[in-house]
Amino acid sequence: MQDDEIMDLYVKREEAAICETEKKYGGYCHKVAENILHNKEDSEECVNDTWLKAWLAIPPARPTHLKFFLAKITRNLSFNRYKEKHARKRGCGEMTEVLDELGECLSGSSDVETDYLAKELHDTINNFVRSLPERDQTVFIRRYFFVESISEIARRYGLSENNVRVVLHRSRGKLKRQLEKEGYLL
Amino acid sequence: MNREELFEEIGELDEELLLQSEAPKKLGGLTWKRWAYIAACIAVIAVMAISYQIISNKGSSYTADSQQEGTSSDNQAGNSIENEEFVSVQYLLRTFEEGQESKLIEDQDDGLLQEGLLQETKKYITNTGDTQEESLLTGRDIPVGKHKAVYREVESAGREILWRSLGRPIAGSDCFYYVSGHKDMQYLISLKDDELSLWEFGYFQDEEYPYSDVLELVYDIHSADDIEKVLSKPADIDNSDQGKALQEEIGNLEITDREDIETLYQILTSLTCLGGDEHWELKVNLGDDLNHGGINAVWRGRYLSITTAWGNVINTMKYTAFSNMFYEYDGIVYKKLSEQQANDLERILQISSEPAPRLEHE
Repeated sequence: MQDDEIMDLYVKREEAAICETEKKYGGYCHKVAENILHNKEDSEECVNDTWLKAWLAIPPARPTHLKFFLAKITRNLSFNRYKEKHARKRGCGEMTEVLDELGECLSGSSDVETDYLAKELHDTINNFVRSLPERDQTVFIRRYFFVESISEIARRYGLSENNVRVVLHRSRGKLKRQLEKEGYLL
Repeated sequence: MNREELFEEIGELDEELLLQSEAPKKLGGLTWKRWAYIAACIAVIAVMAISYQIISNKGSSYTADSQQEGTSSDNQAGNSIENEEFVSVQYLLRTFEEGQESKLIEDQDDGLLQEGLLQETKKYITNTGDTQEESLLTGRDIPVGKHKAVYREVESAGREILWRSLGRPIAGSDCFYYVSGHKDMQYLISLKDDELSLWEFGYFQDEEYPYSDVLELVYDIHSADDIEKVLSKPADIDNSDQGKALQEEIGNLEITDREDIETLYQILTSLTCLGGDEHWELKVNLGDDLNHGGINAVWRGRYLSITTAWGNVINTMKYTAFSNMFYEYDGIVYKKLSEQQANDLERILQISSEPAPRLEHE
């Protein structure tokens, strides 16, 4: 079923909307959750919660790309679940590494909370990612949005793992400089 | 902002960006546009070179064609270099602006970033008071024949010069290229999307390997004929007034005698390298001691610069007559020479077996 048809079901408040969404994007959202949580039960719960959130959001929302709209919900839910679990015990797997890597973008800055406008930071990060060359952009998104492993990214795009690491390292350096320039880092 | 918040913000990326990241594509290697650009650059350079040759009637200077004559080493990349314009490496190594000198003021290892990558930051101050900072990377697992090699990024000329100097790709690597017109791999150019950088050979990652592999595979030296000259300088281990005076007394020695170069070549090809080791100084006795500082090390140590027939300079080899051993920085050590080899070498390098002159007056 096409995305437009699925969204029409949401608008008409027909429960088939959830079935069709799960049929089309269940596996995809599960992968997004699994990358972060590395736990089947937790991933399944987050995916189920995704359908509920989508049901509550559409309408009035009518996303252009339903797939990524759902991916974002799943990602947020999964990350919240990760934080809850991480608070109780040390995390493991890809998520910890990804957070450590992103921490490099902020290293050296003060721990003092900075008030920032979410909208401005949203624009900054989008503009930054857009400014990257195509390969660097793709690798950055696969790693820091989708939390894919280095080896998976390398395999997917025909790169060596070393290349992927170098690309990510340089992108993080550029992001750090951009955040410093725009005053997000003290 | 903390890292969790940054992660959450990345979650708000525009959906068109996410869509682009999912489009099936291979990101390694060059796109057809880049090949077209490189082909156009090579064509322009070739036309200019032909025009220059016609005008200046040059015929005896060293070219890529003559470099190929008499050699039997394989072209690793499987591509011909016949269409490449030879580029001198000295042209690629970075020089500061005319009249500006620089001094290294800080050299810091930023540490191991990830497996296979080490970042080093160097800070320079120029004679005009400006400071410059260079962050250079060390790369591992670069294929050189049957070996994996460590290369270090070096300061280089600008992007346009590196573009014009790009040669054929290195077999087994998705981002390293020969310098145009070269068969040696002493320096390589890295092309990663739009970024270009110059890299210098460090060492092989094997625990032990014959230096003849380095000579042939990296430096393209297959006989003494490939060596034009060798410059021998005293080791600058002791830079006290006394040490500097002794260095000046010893002086530099340029070796051009063909028999001496043949002897040196035979010694070099017999060497076995023991690979990088952080504690190499424990293996190599340089002769410096508590009573006389580095005077002995200066007196009996030499740093060599080997100039190849095509103008490359190899200046990593160091020798100490205290241990009869060659060594390099970064912990690279070579097995001890035989007594005959040591005698021959010390004759050629004019290393005296007498005590250092200053010590006689103590």
